[in-house]
Amino acid sequence: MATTKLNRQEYALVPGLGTQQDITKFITIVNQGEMAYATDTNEFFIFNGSQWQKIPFVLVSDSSNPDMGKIQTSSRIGLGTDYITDKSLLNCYIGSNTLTDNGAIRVNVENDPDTLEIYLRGAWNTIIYDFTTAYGDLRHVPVSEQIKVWSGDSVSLGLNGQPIIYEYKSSMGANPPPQVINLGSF
Amino acid sequence: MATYYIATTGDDSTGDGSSALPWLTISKAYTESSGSDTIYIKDGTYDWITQTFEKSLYIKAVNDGSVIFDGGGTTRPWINNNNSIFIEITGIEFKNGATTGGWSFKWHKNDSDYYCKFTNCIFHDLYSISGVENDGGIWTVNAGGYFYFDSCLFYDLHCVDNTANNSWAGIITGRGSNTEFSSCSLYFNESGLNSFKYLTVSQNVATVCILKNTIIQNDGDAIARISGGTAGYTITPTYTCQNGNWTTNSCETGTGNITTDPLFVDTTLANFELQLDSPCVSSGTLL
Repeated sequence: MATTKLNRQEYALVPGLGTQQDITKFITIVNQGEMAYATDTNEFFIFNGSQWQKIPFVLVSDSSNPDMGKIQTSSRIGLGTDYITDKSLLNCYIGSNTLTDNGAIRVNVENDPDTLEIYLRGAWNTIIYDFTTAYGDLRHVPVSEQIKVWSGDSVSLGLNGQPIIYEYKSSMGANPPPQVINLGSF
Repeated sequence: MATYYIATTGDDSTGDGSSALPWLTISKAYTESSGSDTIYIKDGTYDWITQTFEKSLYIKAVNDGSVIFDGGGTTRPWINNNNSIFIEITGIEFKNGATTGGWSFKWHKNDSDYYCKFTNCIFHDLYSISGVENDGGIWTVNAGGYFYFDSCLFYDLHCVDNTANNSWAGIITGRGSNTEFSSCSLYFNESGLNSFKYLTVSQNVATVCILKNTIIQNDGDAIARISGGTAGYTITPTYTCQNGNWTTNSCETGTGNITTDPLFVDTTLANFELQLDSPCVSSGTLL
């Protein structure tokens, strides 16, 4: 279809036809809700009253052969009524989740602080993510302080040079208590 | 972000701010520095003279606990005087603030983008002086600013008078500021005054003060107030010990709070280590 032949009546058909460029530059001769199909990119557009907006799907070839099995609704675009496949999730976030199937993921806001959890073996399990590595050491960062995993002592020191967290325990005040070496009993 | 050094053996004229040729004074380092630079201070005792800060800086002791700024009892403090900046000070002892004429330490600016953080610092022998409104040994106030004290020790903060207005205090955190004491020890021992404030929040504007893993003890016979003010305030201690002679004790309730004697080793010798059987040992929370 030549660009010069595009007009409101053609676009009023569902769908109108044209290249993507042809469609998007015609904004004064169409009404809100009218639809167009871009023949070059296989995309649909709807005019919202001021501009063309793209329906966020592209068309893919469908097989002429039936699916195996009873259910004949598998989608070639990777989106079904109850599944998503072969997609990358970008700029997304995990929310709550009432499903309790293996592999279900949720953010549990009932915990303080919030925890990221995965459902496995019949229970919600916290996904451990508060770890970092530094200077060849594995460190735990439960809230804001880095704690050396093997000793349980914090990297931050108090006024007296003792770790402010000692064996995963913290004391009050500016001077943490000295570390006590327990030699056991003889 | 450049790094500069000062040392008691430095020279503001012949030095270049390097570790090998440090300057002598903080004022010289401040003048030569730009925003977000770091000023390292080598071991020694320096004159604590008035310095106004109007740009973001890191000011750090090369060795925590080995740098002292001594006001000699007659000098004026460091002052913050700009919005939208941060200042982080680490490992410095400040002592002997002005005993006449006003506050001894003053950080104030009304900007939510402003914050100041002290880590591993010691403040002692600072005075609140009669006759100056908003007086305080340490004054961290004004709307929106954030003040953090991590692993800091405060002792011998003297309240000279409590009669004039509602804000006499050893430490003032007020006027809409947000202040947090984390793993700090505050020890007061004053006599001859009644119902004065050592740690006060709020004046004119609602204020928030958070205490965590912190010890506050008033060991003097003068009754102290932990908070007050003409506007609303929120003082929230958790895993904190408030002990001694107070009009009210904010640690009678709340998560992890206690009111028993923290059992410092020897306060008369300014030894604020904890005795092994202190109720504060292993009673804090992971921060």
